[in-house]
Amino acid sequence: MKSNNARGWKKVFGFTFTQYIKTKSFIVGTIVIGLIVMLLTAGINIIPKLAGAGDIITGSDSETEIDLRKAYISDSTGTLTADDISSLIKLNIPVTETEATDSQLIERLTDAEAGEILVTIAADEQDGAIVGYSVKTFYSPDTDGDSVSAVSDMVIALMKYRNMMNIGVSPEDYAATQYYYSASRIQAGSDEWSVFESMINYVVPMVFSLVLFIFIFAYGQAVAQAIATEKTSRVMELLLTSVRPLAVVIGKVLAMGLVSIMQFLMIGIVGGVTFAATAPFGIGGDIMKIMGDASLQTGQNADIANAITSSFGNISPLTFILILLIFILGFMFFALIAALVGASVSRMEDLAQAMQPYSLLGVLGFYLAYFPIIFNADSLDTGAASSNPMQIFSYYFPVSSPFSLPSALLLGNLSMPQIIVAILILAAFVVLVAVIVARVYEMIILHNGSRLKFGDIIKLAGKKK
Amino acid sequence: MSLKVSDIIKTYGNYRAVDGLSFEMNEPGVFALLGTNGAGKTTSIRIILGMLSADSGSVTWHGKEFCTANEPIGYLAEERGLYPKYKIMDQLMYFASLKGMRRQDAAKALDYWFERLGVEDYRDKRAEQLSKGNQQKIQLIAALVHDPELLILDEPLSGLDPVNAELFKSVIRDEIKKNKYVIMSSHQMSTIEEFCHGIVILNKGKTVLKGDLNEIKKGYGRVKLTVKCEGDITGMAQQCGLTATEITPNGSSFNVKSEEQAHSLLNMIMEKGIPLIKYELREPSLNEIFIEKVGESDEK
Repeated sequence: MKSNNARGWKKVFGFTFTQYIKTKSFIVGTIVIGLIVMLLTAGINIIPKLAGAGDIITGSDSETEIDLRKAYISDSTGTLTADDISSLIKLNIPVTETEATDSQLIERLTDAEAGEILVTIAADEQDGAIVGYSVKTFYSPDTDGDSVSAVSDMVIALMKYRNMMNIGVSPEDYAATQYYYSASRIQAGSDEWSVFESMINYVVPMVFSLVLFIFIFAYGQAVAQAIATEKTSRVMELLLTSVRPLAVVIGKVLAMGLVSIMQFLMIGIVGGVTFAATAPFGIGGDIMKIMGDASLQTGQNADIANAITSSFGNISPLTFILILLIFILGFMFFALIAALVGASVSRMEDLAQAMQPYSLLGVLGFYLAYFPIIFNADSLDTGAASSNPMQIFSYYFPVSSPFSLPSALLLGNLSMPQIIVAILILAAFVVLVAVIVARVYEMIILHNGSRLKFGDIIKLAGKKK
Repeated sequence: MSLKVSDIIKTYGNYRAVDGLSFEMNEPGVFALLGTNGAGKTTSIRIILGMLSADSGSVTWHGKEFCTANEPIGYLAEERGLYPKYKIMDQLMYFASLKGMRRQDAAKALDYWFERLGVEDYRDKRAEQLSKGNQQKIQLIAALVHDPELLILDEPLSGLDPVNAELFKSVIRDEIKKNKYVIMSSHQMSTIEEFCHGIVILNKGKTVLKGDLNEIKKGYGRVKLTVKCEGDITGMAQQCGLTATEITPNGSSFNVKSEEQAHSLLNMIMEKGIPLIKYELREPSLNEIFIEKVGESDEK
């Protein structure tokens, strides 16, 4: 590959880049994808919080603000003591005494202002023996649902505690009965993951492989389209009086690569800014609080903190540099193939058919990266780290590694030597494809007539131009 | 010696597209590369431009191996091409930059050519918004913007109306005045005769005629006779050993072996007192030479 053959690629690069970012499809596409990312990021952040998940993450049950004016407690079982009622009052529950019957209270609540509730406690009996308790909470219209649930939960917790005390269990023994138990099945020799770690290792590769596939594959197609347009509109013949075909393909591929990286980063920034802006109102803020405050890292929160530290703890600037390198190599690999496909057609109508092998290759790579993650869904239950052979294969196979390697790097699922080997294999294949393209491209770019098939292109690779 | 094409051969599979093409352009002017469809003209042009490599042979420019990327060359391809969706000014600036022009120089040159070809109003239009003729003007600007020393025009006038064809011809005349080397390929023989000195006629890749057009014509001599009279001259022509090749309202055409043969027919007409409207004894036209040479080549 003579350097003289590539002379002028910078001008092709500059023109392709500036013209492409001015196209309606790029501007509208970027805005639409940006909006979707904004909505998804905000949704993922805020919706779980609205659904109550945020309370679990921050462990803030006891901090739920009780928005009630009156709370009537009707305990027909006589289990709750005056101390229990006092402890409810200490938790800002406005317990109100009344002489009215339950039915009178229920009737009153029907027309009462918001913020009044009645908690009734009744024993469920079978053959004269108590088998359980029924706690019902009636509330006036427009009363805060979280407050109603919180009071109901507190009353049940108190009932359990008081019944245990009544049968002679000590407070310490009762506390021991409240320990949580988690079950895991771990294959000997594999890493042990917590549920949250498993979730991270499930979701991150899935999202990464999908996003990378969309960018690398879609922009590869754009390269094919651009080259086919130049060839079929006969502009190529004019270009070739000034630059060699190799300069055209290098300029085009690099320009489209920069466009894709730019769009990728723009969308990443939109997602990051949206996340930061919505964090105070969503689980993002809760997670940031947990990570920033060691005192909050207890119980389930500790698991979350450990999972995040364990999964993303090894991220360094080098990680991002390597991810960018993999992205560029992956893009080059697919875009160079797409350039050949674009150059092989003489009519735009033939492009879709000519792109079929390219599409199959891309989809194969994506599924090789994606399917092992699906198969690893089992790790969500077992807590066992993945050692799926297909996933390992996808890291080293150049067709799939651009989609699977970045997340493996991010999550620390491969050691640095393994990552380097995988990148070198990918780089070697990029060079191989580039050599074939350099050899064949000049011969097929001026070919007119019937569409060249894959076999024709391979034959040409062995001939003089 | 400026442009020298020596014994170029190009084969596709078993088909020899160009078979030993050689010609020289020793001085500025227009050189014609002629041939039927599929004769190998475009392949030859692509080889000269360096887009294709020949199996053997060479192309030199001022004594050195020709390299398109290094030489000031302008090319108007037979099959026109512009980016349909991009603005005219953007693409012409791009083409000029690929030719190594600085931005300011390119803008100045483009101002001149937009005005010269009357397309100032289309600077900010997309190519797809222009008529075919106007797209052709933009293509000509792309070929000329960097003031190339060598210009290759493949069917420059095809598809143009008479007014725009004359505009293109005036541009070609200007380039000749500026001592540019022009290689022209066209099926419009009258245009070729108007501009060209040297010609090569190709048929199925082989050169069937080559040389200076005037010399070629002189070599044939005045062998084309056209006579129009107010009476039948068929019998007289036969007495002179002539058979009409074509009879039209403009007269009867004959191929004569010598000027004496033509003069003897004229004398007979004069002796019989037949009113003579037209008598023309001339060299064959390029069109006639082309048909004859290609026909001979096909018969071999």
